[in-house]
Amino acid sequence: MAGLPSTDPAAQRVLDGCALALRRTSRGADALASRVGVVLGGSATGTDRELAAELRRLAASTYQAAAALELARSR
Amino acid sequence: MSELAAVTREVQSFVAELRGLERPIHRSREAIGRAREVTARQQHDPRLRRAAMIRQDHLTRADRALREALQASARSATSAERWLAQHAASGVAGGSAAAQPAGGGGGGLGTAAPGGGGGSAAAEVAALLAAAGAAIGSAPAQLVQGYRGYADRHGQKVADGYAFGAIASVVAGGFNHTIEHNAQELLSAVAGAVLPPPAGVMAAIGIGLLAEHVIVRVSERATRATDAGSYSSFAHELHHRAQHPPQARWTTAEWVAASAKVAIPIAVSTVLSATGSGPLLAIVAGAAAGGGGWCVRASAHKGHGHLPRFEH
Repeated sequence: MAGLPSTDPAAQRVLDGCALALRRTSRGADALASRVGVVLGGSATGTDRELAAELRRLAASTYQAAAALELARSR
Repeated sequence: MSELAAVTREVQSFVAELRGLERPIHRSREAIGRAREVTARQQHDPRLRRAAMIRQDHLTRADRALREALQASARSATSAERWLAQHAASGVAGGSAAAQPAGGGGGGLGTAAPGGGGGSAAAEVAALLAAAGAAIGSAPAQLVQGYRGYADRHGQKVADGYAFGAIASVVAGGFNHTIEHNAQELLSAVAGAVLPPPAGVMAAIGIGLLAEHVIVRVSERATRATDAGSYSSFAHELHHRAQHPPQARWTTAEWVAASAKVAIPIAVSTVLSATGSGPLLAIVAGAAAGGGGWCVRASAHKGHGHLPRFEH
């Protein structure tokens, strides 16, 4: 299988920077979801639980996006 | 600073961080779009075809993942803003959280619990106003979030069916002038039921718009041309309208009833169509609902005869 010409370096930098930001957001969202859960504990309201759930979904989504970006820029 | 106040600060800071994430995601998607164009061209080269196809697949997946991350980011930001508004209402974010126990602000609006003796009535009112402003400001985002959540749970087509059905109801509610719109309603219900959800409801809206400008005008001209005012109550009404251009003033009850009459059949047919109940059932149910709406409207016109009347 022949190799493809390498990607534009400027585009590579954009993708690298975005992947980094996504990883950071993923870690931050996960940590914040845990904080919200711990601090509010058993007295959590619907809004509290919704925020924690959204943050966990965001953590997963940004993690997957970062992985997909890294795969896309690997050639 | 209490734990809850500290978390509040972290949430505020995280929302700002999320806003900063949008730009790199958009720029990455643009870069991916350009790369996809390049790899699409490379697929024509037999030597590069296989590698280009794999690359294209990776780029497509990355673009989709970025789009989903962007949506998740928007949902999280909305959820965080709502959370902040709720806790602002309980006085936590306003710096009066010293005596606020963890989770103590769960009462939401109207249960402000000032801590540390700093909560005057004016501060409570300010906090309530701030919370109300935040709630109003985030309403569109909440609608979008609700739509996306529904699409996640029940599928995009069903969510589209409901969303466009709601739009159709609102739009159709503005057309309730004369009884010739019965034809428009039937056509709208059929279109909404027969076609797949988004296209069907768009067709229903389109027919509603066309009916306003075509059906009414044509029927009025026909009535004038034949001077058929006495042939039937329907024609009489049209003739009456032709002689007295609309200066309609409806009562609130008439507006409500007329809106229901048009909105109900379209909404019912749309919902049934979107949930895959089949066109026939959707049409029959839509027509039946329209009959019910007609009864509601007729009762609003009690004492004015069975035709819609205007106060000239």
